Amino acid sequence: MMILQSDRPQREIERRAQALSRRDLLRAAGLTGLTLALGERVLGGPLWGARVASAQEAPRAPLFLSVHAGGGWDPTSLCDPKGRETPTAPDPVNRFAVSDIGTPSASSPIRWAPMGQNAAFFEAHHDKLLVVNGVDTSTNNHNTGTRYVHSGILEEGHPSFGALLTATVGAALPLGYITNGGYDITRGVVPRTRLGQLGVINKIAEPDLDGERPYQLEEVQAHLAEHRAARVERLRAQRDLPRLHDSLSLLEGARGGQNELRRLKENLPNLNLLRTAIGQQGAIALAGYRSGLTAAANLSVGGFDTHGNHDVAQAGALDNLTRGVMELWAEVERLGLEDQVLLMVTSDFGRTPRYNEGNGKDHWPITSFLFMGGGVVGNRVVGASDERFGPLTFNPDTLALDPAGVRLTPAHIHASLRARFGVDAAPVSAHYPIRERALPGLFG
Amino acid sequence: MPHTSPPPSPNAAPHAPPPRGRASAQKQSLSLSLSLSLSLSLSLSLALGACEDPQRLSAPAGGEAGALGGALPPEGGAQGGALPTEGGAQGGAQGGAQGGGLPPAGGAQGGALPPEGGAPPPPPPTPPADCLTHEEFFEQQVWRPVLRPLCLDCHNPQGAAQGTEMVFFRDSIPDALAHNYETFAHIAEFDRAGTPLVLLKPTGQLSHGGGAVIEEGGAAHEALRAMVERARDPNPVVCQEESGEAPSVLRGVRLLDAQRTLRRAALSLAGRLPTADEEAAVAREGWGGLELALTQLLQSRSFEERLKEVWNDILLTDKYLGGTEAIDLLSPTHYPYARWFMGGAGVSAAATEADIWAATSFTNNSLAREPLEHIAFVVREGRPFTEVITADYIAMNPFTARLYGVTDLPWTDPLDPNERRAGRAPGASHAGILTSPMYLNRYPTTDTNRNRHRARIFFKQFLDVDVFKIAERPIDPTSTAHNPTMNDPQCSICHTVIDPVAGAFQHWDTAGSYALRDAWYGDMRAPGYGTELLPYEERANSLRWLARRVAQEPGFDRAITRQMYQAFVGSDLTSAPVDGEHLEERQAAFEEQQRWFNDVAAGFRANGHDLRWLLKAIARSPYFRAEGLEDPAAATPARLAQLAHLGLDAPLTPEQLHRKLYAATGVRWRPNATSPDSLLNPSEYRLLYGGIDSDDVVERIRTPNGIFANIQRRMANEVSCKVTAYDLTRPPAERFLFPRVEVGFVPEDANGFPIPQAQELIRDNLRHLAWRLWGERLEADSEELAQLYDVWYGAWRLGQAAVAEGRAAASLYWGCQGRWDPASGLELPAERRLSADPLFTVRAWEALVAYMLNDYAFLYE
Repeated sequence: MMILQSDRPQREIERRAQALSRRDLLRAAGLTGLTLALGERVLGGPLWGARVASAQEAPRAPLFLSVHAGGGWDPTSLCDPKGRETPTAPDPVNRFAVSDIGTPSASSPIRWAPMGQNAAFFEAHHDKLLVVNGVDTSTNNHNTGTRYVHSGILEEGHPSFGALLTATVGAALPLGYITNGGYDITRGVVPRTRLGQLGVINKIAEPDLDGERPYQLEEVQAHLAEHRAARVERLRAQRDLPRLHDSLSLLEGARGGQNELRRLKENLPNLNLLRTAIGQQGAIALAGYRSGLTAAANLSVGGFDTHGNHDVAQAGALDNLTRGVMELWAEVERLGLEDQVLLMVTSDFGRTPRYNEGNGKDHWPITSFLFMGGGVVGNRVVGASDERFGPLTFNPDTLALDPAGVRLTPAHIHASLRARFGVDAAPVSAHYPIRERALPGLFG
Repeated sequence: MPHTSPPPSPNAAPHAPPPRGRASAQKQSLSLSLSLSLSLSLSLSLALGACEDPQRLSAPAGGEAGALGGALPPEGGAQGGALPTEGGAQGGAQGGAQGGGLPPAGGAQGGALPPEGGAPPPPPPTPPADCLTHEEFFEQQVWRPVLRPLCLDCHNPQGAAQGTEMVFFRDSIPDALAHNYETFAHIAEFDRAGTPLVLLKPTGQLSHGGGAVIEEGGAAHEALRAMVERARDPNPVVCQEESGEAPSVLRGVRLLDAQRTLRRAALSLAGRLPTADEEAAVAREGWGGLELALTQLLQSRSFEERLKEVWNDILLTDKYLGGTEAIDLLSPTHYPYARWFMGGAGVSAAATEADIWAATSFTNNSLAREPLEHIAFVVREGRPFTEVITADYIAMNPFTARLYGVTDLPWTDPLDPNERRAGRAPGASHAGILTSPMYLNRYPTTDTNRNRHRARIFFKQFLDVDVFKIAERPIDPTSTAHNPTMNDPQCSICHTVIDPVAGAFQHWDTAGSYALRDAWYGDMRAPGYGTELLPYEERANSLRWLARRVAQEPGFDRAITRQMYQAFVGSDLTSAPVDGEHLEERQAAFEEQQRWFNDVAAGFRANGHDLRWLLKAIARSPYFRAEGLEDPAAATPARLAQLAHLGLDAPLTPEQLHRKLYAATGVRWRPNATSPDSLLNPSEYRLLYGGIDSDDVVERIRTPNGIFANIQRRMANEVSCKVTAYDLTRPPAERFLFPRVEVGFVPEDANGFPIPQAQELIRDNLRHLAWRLWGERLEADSEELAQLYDVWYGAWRLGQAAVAEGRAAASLYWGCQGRWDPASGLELPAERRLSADPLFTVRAWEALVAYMLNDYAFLYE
């Protein structure tokens, strides 16, 4: 495979060429826009699914939703709780008592910290939750940590898993990768779309209509479209510098799915009924997925960088997060998409196992991941940390803790994600290799 | 005096490569300051992480000024005040077209250079090995073929060999090659049993974590051996200068001519189309006319607005626009007059609620924009751009002056928020924007972060050093070092550099208030810059001392040059190629651009840090003007790979598209006359079209997606509907789009016979539109003009048929009628209104305008 180390790597050009040829094929077949199922099948890609109007017809490839808790959350205040043995114990990791740590049942390995809405969240969802604790990001750097937990690679210059997944299962989707922040670097393998507020969705979805009235006569529209296509070909010949040629192709690629956007509008719920940022962001992504337009989305919520007044600020941020995830999952369940949506929740890194002079907690490289849905077997915990929130080693074959084992890292998790979604076999991922191998049975 | 020479051409002198066999771009960089960027590179701060807590959206400023009813500033307390404004140095030589290299005389209009033989240029020649300096030999014989492909994966700050003494940097890091050369030279000093370690380890003769990676006696081994000998030789190799120059990588690239360069520069630098006078000057005087036009352009108010927009992308201080977002950040203790408009001596008893609202709005937004206005002031006054951070004043307007309690600035109009003067706030220590409470709040600190975040931002914005990029390495949470930023090697190497700069921010607290501290933290490195300590006598003005120290660094020149390049060319400078095909060709392109970059950065300094000079140098450069290949047959894979960094390829930002629409059509895209502009309104398309809100959304999306495409299409439909009939209601001389045609001009009569005169005028108007909307000069017999005519003619015929068949009305749709002035929303006089369209000509023009507005040439120019 030829690789160009430039701002526009060769793989991007190839991807565009593939996308364009796919469109050309569809055009040749007399179809308009992107008729996704046919396109993918004809071109030998994975079965993405047909345009859907209901959950029963939804695509078979899961939707990947990545929730980023921006700023560095504190797992010891959430899913990897560390309490204080006595009220006077010095240098505590947290100020709550060990005896107040919650669990859904004696037989469940899941534990939660007695803060904010944690109890409500874990009580409601422990049966579908996979908790991965003691994950060593080996960094205290926001940028590096965020990149590592969402790409599986510490060094810069790598796409997020959401971008890779989209490139694998739906590179030509017009809203393939929706982002609301977090780590959304794509390296050009797919475009990303910001779709956080939709007060103008009607106008965007129906750009040729002024209310119910078309701006142009139907035959005039067709006439313009025909000339536009010819003009693009002339421009393509003139724009012979690679970057200009590519930019024209990207624009045409983006235009390929213009007509598909109106399906998004049809599938959107009433966003005013959703109260949380995560809920609203997720609802849009779900509508995109149900419309056959979206393969992955980044959702984000901030406020976790609690260098000061940690207990109050972190509890507030965790409340926002858990309430948002609960609201989002209620929407997933309402749509009957529990098995088709894989939700991942994580953060830049963790926070120190002690308080600083300002009652805050600083950066600490150990973090956690939460997974729900998408066929994940719940009520499980993989990995652990010690009483001072240091990482414990584990056996990557059995997933059991093992003093002679290795540290659990985001690379392990992303290798497993790639394997689960078939991304590891896609050519695009070969350019971004992960050093660790997939963990057998991580997702059940 | 106007210059009459064309701008630097790829084949001409200004940024031509050095003579054959001489220094590469990296070698040039060896001479640049290394002290900071090198020492930054090995570690990562424990607490460098920013604490950028996302906050609420801030809306853009709104509202008009009301009369303040004789509002006066408060009395007393002012210790600072007016500064003479005439002191601004012009900064050495006037820019003109001098620094950055003047092209040979000639006054040619065309930018395209004649191809020589039509064949792509050969790759740069590799100098003979016996005529290489040590540094050149290292780069060409050792680094690129041996160390980079075989060793770098482990021997880098993140790699498995990070703990060894042989840690190399990737090429993308500033001055990486210089560091790598010095690292190798250091390692080359060590022997084991008489053999250099650097030969024993990679051949597996001595314990090596990576095993044997090269063969003893092979080419790589020989190159290392030769390099060791050179490194141990105290005498530098001196090569004879060879005559002649290597051919430019850019030879054969088609560039914009002077007129189109003017158009692109006007749109990019000022968000408007060239004026008729400017176009005439270029038509008359060629490149000299362009020079004059650029000078005018860079003195315009619209340029200042664009400049502030560009710098807000960097500083993000527009977060505080709207409401009292900015004022709320100020401590009442330190800024007792912050809410002067709420009453007291400064406000007339006759002031109405609307007056107070206007004063509140102006005060808040003037404060929010203080850093951006200071930058604009420095440029407008022709002062050295270093004063952005070194000035012992801040640019004030009447409203910020009141807020600071400054009463003695001589305002021409004390209610004009656009009037600016240099002023000093009482009790403050100024260092340009660095001490603005807006800058300091935008980059906040905490008791534990101790200004490290501010230091990181400062390095990036004003020293061209991305600490995060350089200082990435895994850390071990089980490290037990006490005070790790001082004592843990994982952290201390980086903190050695970062912490002194953080200490220079010591007197500015989390709210940005100035409060002189008695002492800085004893468990941090002392305030200063690098190894240079802050002089005791400068303690109270530590940031100004830092800024003036940094302004002497080449890193400052590079930082500003790089950021202006990114802003106005729309992409980053190309990075060093690491692997892949056509490596030599891409390396040559990288080096040539680096030479250009270094030349321009040096020219920026030589020209007194005149930002206008810098922007002219960028606008004249081939990187701004490249549009294609002179010979399409030269588009070989190698050649295309080499030119992959050329061309402006991103869609216009929402702000740029908004301004271009207005400039080109004369109407604003907004739902009605009093609505916010659709592309600037965060509730409409600003964020969806890739823009930022300077708060949560701080990075632009420059790659189009499905939403972009639909917004473009809606824009084309709505604007064409709004402007077409309205433009036709105006006198022809005042029309933006249709100066040559009238509603009644049809190409054929009722019997289908052609009307040649009408056809000619329609074609004339199409040519006008092609230049106005697309920037394309179409010849009368061009294929593109024929196609445009077909677009219009086809729409007209189809529409006529529909009218005849009763499927379309004989009048315009209500919303598209020429009935209102789009600017005011008021109805036009009855005799001017245009609502009937029995011939379908208006709707044919509307369709054509929609077609053209939705074209790549309009959306990307």
